[in-house]
Formats: sequence, structure tokens, C-alpha cells
Amino acid sequence: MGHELVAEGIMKQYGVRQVLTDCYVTCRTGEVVGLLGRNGCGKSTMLEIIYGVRDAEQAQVRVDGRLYNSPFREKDLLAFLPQGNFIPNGLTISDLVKLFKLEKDQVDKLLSYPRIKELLNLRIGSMSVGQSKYAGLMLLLHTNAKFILMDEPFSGLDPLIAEEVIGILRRYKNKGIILTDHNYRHVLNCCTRFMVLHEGAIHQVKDPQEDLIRFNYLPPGAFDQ
Amino acid sequence: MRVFLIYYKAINSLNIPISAAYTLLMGAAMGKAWPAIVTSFALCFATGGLWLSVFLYNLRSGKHYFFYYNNHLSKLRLFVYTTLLNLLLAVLLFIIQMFWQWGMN
Repeated sequence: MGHELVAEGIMKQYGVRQVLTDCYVTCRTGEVVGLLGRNGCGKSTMLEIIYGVRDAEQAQVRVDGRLYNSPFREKDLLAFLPQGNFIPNGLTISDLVKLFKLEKDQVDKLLSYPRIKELLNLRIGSMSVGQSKYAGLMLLLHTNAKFILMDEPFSGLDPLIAEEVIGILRRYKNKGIILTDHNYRHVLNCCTRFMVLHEGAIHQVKDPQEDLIRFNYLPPGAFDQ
Repeated sequence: MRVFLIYYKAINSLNIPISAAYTLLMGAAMGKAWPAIVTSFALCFATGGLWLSVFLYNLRSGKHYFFYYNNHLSKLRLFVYTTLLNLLLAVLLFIIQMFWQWGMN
């Protein structure tokens, strides 16, 4: 059965600066929604508000019509991949599988990835930035969360792993994913739908080549190369 | 519970040295007897040392909170549980010290 996440009326102000103005975001399971926007425009803030870990002047988050004040507190609802490593350094992937209470078929699926097998008993603190990012991303993808919010999932990943992750995200049809990243080529490659955050408002992107330039996210001629 | 214990261990691995250093400094400065030193340690462990440890943890490992959020634990809940458990340990330490003193007399 498909699920739908609707976040609406998101308003956030830092001092006198209005960062987000009545933003509206939706995501269905099976969709990978790319959120693009320039530095400091409020992409990470918006994801954290949707997740329920950052205060906002106003925000309503609904999943399948039910309103949630702090979605992160609910089991099997939302997961969040932040920028940088979020896993305590002393843990290994084997520990994480137990802590996140992954089901057997999910564990088998996770362990079917050769890179994960290689890293299985290595402490997160001993991994490189890219390896820990990959481990965190793969772990969250195999939890029961219906939706995953990803803040810069490709940063720190080498091109080979980034391509592998794009392939995995494209194949994942049982979750809804909202992601933001500055590598717009990766975002364009793996997302099924795009939005751009421009001057505090969300705009749906229908034609990336035209709209991303129109909303001043990319320079003119960016797609000519 | 296991997820909370990871946080508890991380906070108290900062808190214990901070509280011990505070207790030693105060004890040396004020020439206190050991029962007073134990009380100072227990107080610092449950209050100032804990607050400073949480502050330092936020600075050093703020991103790790997302690990706890992904396990449905809020920052407030982690702080409240840690405070309660440390208060319990501090009271226990205080009671042991009282009984020890009572036995000595």
C-alpha cells in the first residue's frame, strides 16, 4: 500500500529574516523527490522541520492524512540522514543492525551489498567519511521507515559509490525519499520529481533545464556542457 | 534502552573526569575530609559536571543526536533520563558514604 507525506504551511524565521514562507512539500512512497536550492536558502532547515527536530513558526506534517507534531518519535514513519556522520564512533554495522532492530530479510538484503560486508565489523570511527556516510545511508534504507529525508547524501562519496547509491535509490520503490544535495547532476539522475527552494518559497520543477536557470540556481548555459 | 545507554556512556565518559577534577581541586583548595569530597563529587556528577558534559557533547558530537532521533529518542528525553539516573547514583553514593561514616563512629 502506498503512503503519502504532506508537509504544508512551513514558515521559519531567523531574527528578521524570513527563511521559509508557507512552503508545501509532498512525497509518495516510490518517489524520490529532489530539493534543490542555493546555499543558505533553508533546505536543511526545512528537512529538519519536517522531521520534527527543529522549531518552526508554523508547520503541519501529515502522513496518510494523520497529523504528527514530532514525526521522528513515531516508529516506522520517518528517518533522517544528516550531513556528516551521525553514528557514534564506537559502533559497527553489526551493532547497528541490532540497535535498529532490522528484520531478517532486511539484514540479508543489507548484507548482500559487497561494500557493506567489507565494513561489517569495522567501527564507524575507523571508517573514512565516505564509508561512514555509505553505511548510514544503507542502514536507513533498510529500516522500516516509510519516508527518508536525506541531507546531502552524496557529499563525501567517491564517484563509484555515488553511482551505486543512485542506482539503489532508483530501485527503492517501498519508501518515499526527499533529498537535497549540491551535486545537481546526481540529484537529476536519481530523482523522479524536483523542487527548487527560491526566496523562501518552494517551486515545482517541470523542466529542469529551464526552471533551474530561471530560479537562479544554475548559471545560464549549465546544461550546454 | 541499549540506545540510551550509548548516550549515557558518552556523556558520563566526559562527566566523570570533569567531576573528579572539580572534586580534587575543591578538596585540595578547601582541605576537605573524604566524606565531604564524596559529597562534592556526587553533587557535581548530578548537576554541573553533567550540564557541562552535555554542552561539550553538543559542541563535539551534535550530529550524533540524529542517531538517537532515528531511534525515536528526543534530546530532551535523553537529558531527562541521564539526569534522573545520575541523581539516583549520586543519592546512592551519598547514602553509602553516610552508612560508612555511621559505621566508623
